[in-house]
Amino acid sequence: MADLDALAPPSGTPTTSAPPTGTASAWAVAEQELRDLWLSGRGAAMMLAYTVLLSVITYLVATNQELNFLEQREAVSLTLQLAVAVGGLLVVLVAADAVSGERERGTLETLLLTPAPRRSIIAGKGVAAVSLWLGAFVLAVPYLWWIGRDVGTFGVAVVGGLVVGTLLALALTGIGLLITTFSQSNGLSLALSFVVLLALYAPHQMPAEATRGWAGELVQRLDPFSAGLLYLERLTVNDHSLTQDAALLVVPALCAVVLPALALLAGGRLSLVPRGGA
Amino acid sequence: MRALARIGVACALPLALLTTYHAEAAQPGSAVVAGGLVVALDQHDLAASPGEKITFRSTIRNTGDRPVDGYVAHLNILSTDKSVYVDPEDWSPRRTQFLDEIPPGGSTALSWDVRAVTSGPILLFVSVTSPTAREVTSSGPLNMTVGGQRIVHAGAVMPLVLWVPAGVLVLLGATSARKRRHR
Repeated sequence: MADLDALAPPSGTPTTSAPPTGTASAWAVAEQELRDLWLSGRGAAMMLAYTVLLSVITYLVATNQELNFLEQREAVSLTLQLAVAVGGLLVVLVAADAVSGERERGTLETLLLTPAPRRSIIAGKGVAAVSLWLGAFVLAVPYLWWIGRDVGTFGVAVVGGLVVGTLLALALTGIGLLITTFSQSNGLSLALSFVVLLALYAPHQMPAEATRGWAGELVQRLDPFSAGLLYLERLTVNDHSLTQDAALLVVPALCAVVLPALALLAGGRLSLVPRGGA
Repeated sequence: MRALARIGVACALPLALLTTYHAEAAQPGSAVVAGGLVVALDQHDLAASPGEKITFRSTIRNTGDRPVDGYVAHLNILSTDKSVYVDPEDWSPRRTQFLDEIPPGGSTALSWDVRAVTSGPILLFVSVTSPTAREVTSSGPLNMTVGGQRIVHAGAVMPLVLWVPAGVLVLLGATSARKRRHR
């Protein structure tokens, strides 16, 4: 929850003073949300779970006979895709809690009474959610380096992972914020967000046979998750250049712009009880 | 009459062998003839690294005097080394192609994408079967040598998998201690 003192006008300030601009108040909310996320230990606890998962996968890739059967570039691809997918999951966890969590804890009313515009509140919470992906990515770099150092895929894996992961994190933040704005209960918001995340992830897990033909290829290109992960796979396994499959990033990029914009628009109608929501 | 038949067979046999020889000569890329179809590959030997994607073509020529329709071509992938495990699905997810009608004397070319997965001697060939599956015609082999598989080595993995989470754990402890101090 945002520290409300930071958003309240300073004592003694005349009531006629100009309200804070949208950008300034968005930064104020973002700063408080970032403090709340990272200094309360919530972010660090999520990062601990994330690194434990990456450690287990890296250990298995290196020692397990079945996984070690993978060619080294495939091992880089596996780790990178896992890092991006789980990073997206962490982003959804925070974004889906942003408004419905405040509602459930009874702190949304006080937050709405601050002079910060409602869209700034949503924008600030979005920044905090995306920061979780950036933290996760920094922690994934040593694993990618260790697995991909001998095959020359470390550089492209890092650049591609950062681009794709950030696009997906922005899109997932938009989805999470949209759902949480219209959800009365936090449980519902989290459940709905997870279902959407799984639905986006599912096409990428389909067998190769199912992705063939125009319908299969269309689904792969229209689903931002599948398109992004396919881009990473081609980058690391097939040794494609960063621009060779840039067309695959069109839908993730569109989602990264449109979904947060929709969340900001919906944030303007933020209220104590969700309108038309569940 | 019987003698005439014997003479006919005696003449037909060298003629058939001659036709086979000509078909093979016309397709230097390892061709095998059966049932009026010749299947030839554009490559015989190939070296690849694991993860490398290769594409080769097969040409199916109708040497008969009737059009062939509804035939099916299939790519076979196997290793001649029993210690090398090959799952064809990993190597090429699209291994079956259905052919359009081929007129007499006509041919059709098919492109096959294969990604080398594991090191070892690998044999690839294309088989074509009729719709009734009564006959199968195969191409000659494409010998692929996949070498230099690079796998992740387990050495020195322990410091990484232990120290990164340990570092995050220290950060978590520090934030918890800071939180307690501020209460």
